[in-house]
Amino acid sequence: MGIRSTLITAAVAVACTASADAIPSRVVKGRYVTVELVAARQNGREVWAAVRFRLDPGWHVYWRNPGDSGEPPRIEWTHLPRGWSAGQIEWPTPQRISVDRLVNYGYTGEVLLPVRLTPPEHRSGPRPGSGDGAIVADVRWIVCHDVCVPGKATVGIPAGQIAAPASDEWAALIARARDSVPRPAPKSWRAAFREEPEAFTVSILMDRRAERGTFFPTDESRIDDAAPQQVSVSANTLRFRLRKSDQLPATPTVLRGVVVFTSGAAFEILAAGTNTDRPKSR
Amino acid sequence: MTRTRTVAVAAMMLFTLSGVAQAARVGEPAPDFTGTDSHGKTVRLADLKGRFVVLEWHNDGCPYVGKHYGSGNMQRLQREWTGKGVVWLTVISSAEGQQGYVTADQADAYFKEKNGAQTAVLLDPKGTIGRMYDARTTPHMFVIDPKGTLIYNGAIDDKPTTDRADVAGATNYVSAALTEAMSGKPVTRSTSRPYGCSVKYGSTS
Repeated sequence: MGIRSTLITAAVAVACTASADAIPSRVVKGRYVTVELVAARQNGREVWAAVRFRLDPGWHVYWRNPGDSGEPPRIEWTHLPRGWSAGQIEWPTPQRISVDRLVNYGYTGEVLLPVRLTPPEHRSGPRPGSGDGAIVADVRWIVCHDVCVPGKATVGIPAGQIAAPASDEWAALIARARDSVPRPAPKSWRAAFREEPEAFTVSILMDRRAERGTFFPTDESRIDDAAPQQVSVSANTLRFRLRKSDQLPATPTVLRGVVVFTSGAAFEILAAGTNTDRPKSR
Repeated sequence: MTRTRTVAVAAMMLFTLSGVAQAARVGEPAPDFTGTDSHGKTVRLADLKGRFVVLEWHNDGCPYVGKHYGSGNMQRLQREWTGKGVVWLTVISSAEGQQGYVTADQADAYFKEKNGAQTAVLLDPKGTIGRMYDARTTPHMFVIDPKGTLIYNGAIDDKPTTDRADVAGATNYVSAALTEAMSGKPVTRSTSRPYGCSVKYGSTS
């Protein structure tokens, strides 16, 4: 099956040295988008890197699930300081972007995709802010308006810059991006879905008065992204009726997604199937 | 309150209508269409019963289409499968003024230059056939069996990128479906998420 390669391989970096000359540019201007690598400390001890996309007006890049068309950006960490490893992209809350009959999930204006960098256990590698270590990423994307343009860039930053004065601004950017990543739903919430011939009905029992929202499926080919979502609230329950995708491979046992409330708060939910053991005729 | 209710009712009607409209669902009869090819000839799906049919949605400006035509992959597939009796229809649903829109002469010249081997190129600038099938991307592939049943709806292969280097190692879903169906086996991978640029239906949809 095609798992979209949006995830960073959490590979331990090869012990390579990178001199100042060999480190690629930190900022690369592509067509309709400028791509930039930033890195900074967060919460005192943590080190985070992020790829920043600044988009020309009207152009967008995609979320982990791009929706009806398009492709999410991919980041490959081709060089990290010795012993360091990179985690997965933390995807900020997406927007729903309509392109004619289609609906995509993605970002306009600007988006930062943060990734946590983990130093080696034995502390013998370069400390952030010291030494010859460098952080280098191969970034690939497709940026679309009504038409699409693929792009790629290699961006790099000396590890020493993590502690530099400029990193204060970067720390703020990264913090803001991380704040906009949907939070896991509170443990007290209960999310379930029923499968019908044409649609899924997702019910979320919240710990507070339910608010209307929009459902963003994490996995592709579950729902018809362009179909209007039927949303209803009743006391503490939020319900979505979501038309199924024509490319739904099989009855899913769970539906993963992000619920973005009209207030702007966003939560990750995992809805368990409640009647999915019975075969459904379509 | 009333306005919210009206909006909700309207949304529900839209929802129900889109469910009732012809959709191209695997296992069901493929929606019958009548189209015009680049030579002005009428092509009707119902007339093609008894043959396997492949529908290939196309836009020459889309980098995903460019990956398959630039590498020769699409032309190879067209040649291989039309050689085995499959009717291969390339469909262009770009509206006039949108990327990918071509006149009949432009289509002929383009596919001649690219060495295309499709059976015909259907010009669908009003998007009628595209909407019937809910063709969403270019490419978006459909395979119909000789009984007229849709047996595949989705991506051309399992590498949803614009990178030509990804063609060689990819699993081609169209070839797999045709190979299995032609040997009387069920199609193991009958749907996948189609990848590509959005079909440019234009604002009149």
